[in-house]
Amino acid sequence: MMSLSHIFKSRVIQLALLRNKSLSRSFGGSMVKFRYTLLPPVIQNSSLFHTFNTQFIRSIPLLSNRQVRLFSEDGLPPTWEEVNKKIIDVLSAFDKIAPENVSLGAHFVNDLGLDSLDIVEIVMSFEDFFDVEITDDELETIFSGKDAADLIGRKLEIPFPEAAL
Amino acid sequence: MSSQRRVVLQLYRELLFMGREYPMGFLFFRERLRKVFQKNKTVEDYEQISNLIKRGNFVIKELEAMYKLRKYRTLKKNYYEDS
Repeated sequence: MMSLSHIFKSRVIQLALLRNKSLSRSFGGSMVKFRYTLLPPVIQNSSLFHTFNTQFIRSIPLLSNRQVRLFSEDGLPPTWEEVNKKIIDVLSAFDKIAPENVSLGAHFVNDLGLDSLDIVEIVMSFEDFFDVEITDDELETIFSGKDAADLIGRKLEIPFPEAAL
Repeated sequence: MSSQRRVVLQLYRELLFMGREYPMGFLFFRERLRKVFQKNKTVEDYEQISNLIKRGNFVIKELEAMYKLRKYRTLKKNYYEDS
């Protein structure tokens, strides 16, 4: 069990006492706590963690710019395999592509013989299927199913396999 | 040049979106729209392209007006049986 004196050694509380603020406030609301959890564990466990001021924590951008994310809808975000499979499905459903030519790496213009208008149509169907928004800038970077998968995966915040701790 | 290309693609996107509720069906609309865009594929003059973009925006407004009229007529029919 942690002794009282040990807790009072914590710099946060010392500062709070110095500034005569309420303790609960100096520990931060749930939002600040939530942002703490985004820091890598190395920092969270280090003694430095307690010296971070709230200004610094607020300057860390949140992972999502979406206001509400409903995990209750279908549980977890899709995996990379599911995204890839869905992209293949959408591409095979497009009437100007022969289903046997479809692959993730196939270049829309060079391999599949599509023009820029076709790409716009495909991107619009991606938007519908994945419920994401793709801007004009991003549209110009999509030239294959793989490009689309990377972009959509990033938008859906699917963690990369190597980034999993 | 490339900025105009982007505007044209954006226009195509907006027109496709507007055509989803087209009375004669979305596929009919898409086919016609594509034909129109492909007909002017070879136009290279800056002024001419600007005029075509203006015309595209005009068509968007017309589609909007058509949808509003359709809505108005449906509502009116619901309120006044005889007209």
